[in-house]
Amino acid sequence: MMLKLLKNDFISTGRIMGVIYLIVAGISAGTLISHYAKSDADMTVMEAMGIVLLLVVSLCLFVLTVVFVLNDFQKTLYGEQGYLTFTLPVKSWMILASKVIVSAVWFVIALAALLASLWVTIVVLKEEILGENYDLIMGMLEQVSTVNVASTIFSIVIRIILYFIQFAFFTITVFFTSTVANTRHFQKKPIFWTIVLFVPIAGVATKFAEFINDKIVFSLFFVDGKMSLITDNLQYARLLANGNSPVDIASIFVYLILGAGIFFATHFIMSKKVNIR
Amino acid sequence: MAKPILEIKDLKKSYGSHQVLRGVSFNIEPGKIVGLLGPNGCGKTSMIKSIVGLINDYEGEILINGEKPGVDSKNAIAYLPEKNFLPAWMTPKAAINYMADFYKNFNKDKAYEMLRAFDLDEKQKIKTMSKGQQEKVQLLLVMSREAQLYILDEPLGGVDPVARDFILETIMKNHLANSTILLSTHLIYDIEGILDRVVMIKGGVLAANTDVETIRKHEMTVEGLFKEVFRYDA
Repeated sequence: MMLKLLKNDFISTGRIMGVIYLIVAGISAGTLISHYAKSDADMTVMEAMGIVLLLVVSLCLFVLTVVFVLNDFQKTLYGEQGYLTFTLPVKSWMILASKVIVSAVWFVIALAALLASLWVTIVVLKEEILGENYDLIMGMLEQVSTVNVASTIFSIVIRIILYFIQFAFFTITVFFTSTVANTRHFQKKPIFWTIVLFVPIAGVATKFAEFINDKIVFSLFFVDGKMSLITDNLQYARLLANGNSPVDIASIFVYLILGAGIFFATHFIMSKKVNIR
Repeated sequence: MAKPILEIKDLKKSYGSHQVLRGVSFNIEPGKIVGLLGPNGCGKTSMIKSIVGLINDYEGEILINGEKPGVDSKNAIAYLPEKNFLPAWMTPKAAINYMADFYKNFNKDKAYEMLRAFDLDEKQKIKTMSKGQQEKVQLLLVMSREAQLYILDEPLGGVDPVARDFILETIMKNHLANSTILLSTHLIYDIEGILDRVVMIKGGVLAANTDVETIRKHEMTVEGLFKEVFRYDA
């Protein structure tokens, strides 16, 4: 049943989110084609417009994703469609889990689209704006990818999983506040209360994760094609100083534990305290 | 006597300080067509929402086939709410696929048969349909289920007399022979002929729970009994 819920949630959300990503892919392709098809080095109007449009749309992607995810959650669970959703023969926690997973996947895709559009921007702007920095950036990317392909892929997969966990945490926090906002005391203005409640809850959780991360060194580094788990403060500082980027596992554990707690709280309130209008 | 398909024991439900249901108890046997009658605001919809699992914070006990509302009962119940529960972007075809995905007892052939009989376009989006067409789609989705218990909340509300006949005909033609129907309405005249039993709710309490045959033995009609029970509410 979980797979069926995921399938139908992807179908439902993909109608709009899919179109947005198709637009991003289309602008990227158009900009790149225009870049490679030109005969001289000067930037064409098409390229300039493409870059501006791409950056604007990509930066808006996260805001659009948040708005869409929240609106879909509100409509399909606590609006009239809730009459369909909550009478399906599935456990109610599955409905919630499916929504969290699908939303987190859209956020990961939004991030990938943003990175892809930045790559297109770097490629197009290489001579015009970036100058020597372009060679430096491309050199770094080349170095990373040629050290060890398997390690690079592994590093990317690990980062995708970790981003997924962070986005899932963000999503369940939004769903929690939306659920509280649909209880009797707040339900006259659910969207307003969702935002008002979200800010302090997400703020406290993020600060707590940062605090734990500062206190406990437990990070992954990918150096020279090898992955190392660093638990020592000095070693951590040295690798950081050498320009290596850490993957902080400690904060991820915090997000996982807090996320699980918020998930159960959301499910409890959803099952016991929310009356669908 | 057959084991009841639905048992309601001392059901109470409040919204804040406002108590909507004040300890309602009754059973429904399988194979019966039961009218859940009462004026607006008497607690009919709250009771139905509790039975189908949309409301969980009630007091008392609800048993469907001897079990509390859950995944099994949701499989056994086909529920038609008052509201338009379909997403605006959906087409009847997408809605049929959706229902077939989740309900093992959803009969796709029957759904398409009804779709044709209702003269509906399987590719037309719900948002472009008239209210009447939307209601037909919802009705066919519910009646295509081979369910044990059909719960229909005000299926005749807001439609003209011709449409009412059409809806009742669809319900009677498509429900399984041994299934049970719980039909909530305040339009008693239209359904009087099909009911086996009536349950009347007044001010959150059970006001009547009797066989239609018994009512007739007393040379009364369901409408007459309804007027008698609710005469002070008019």
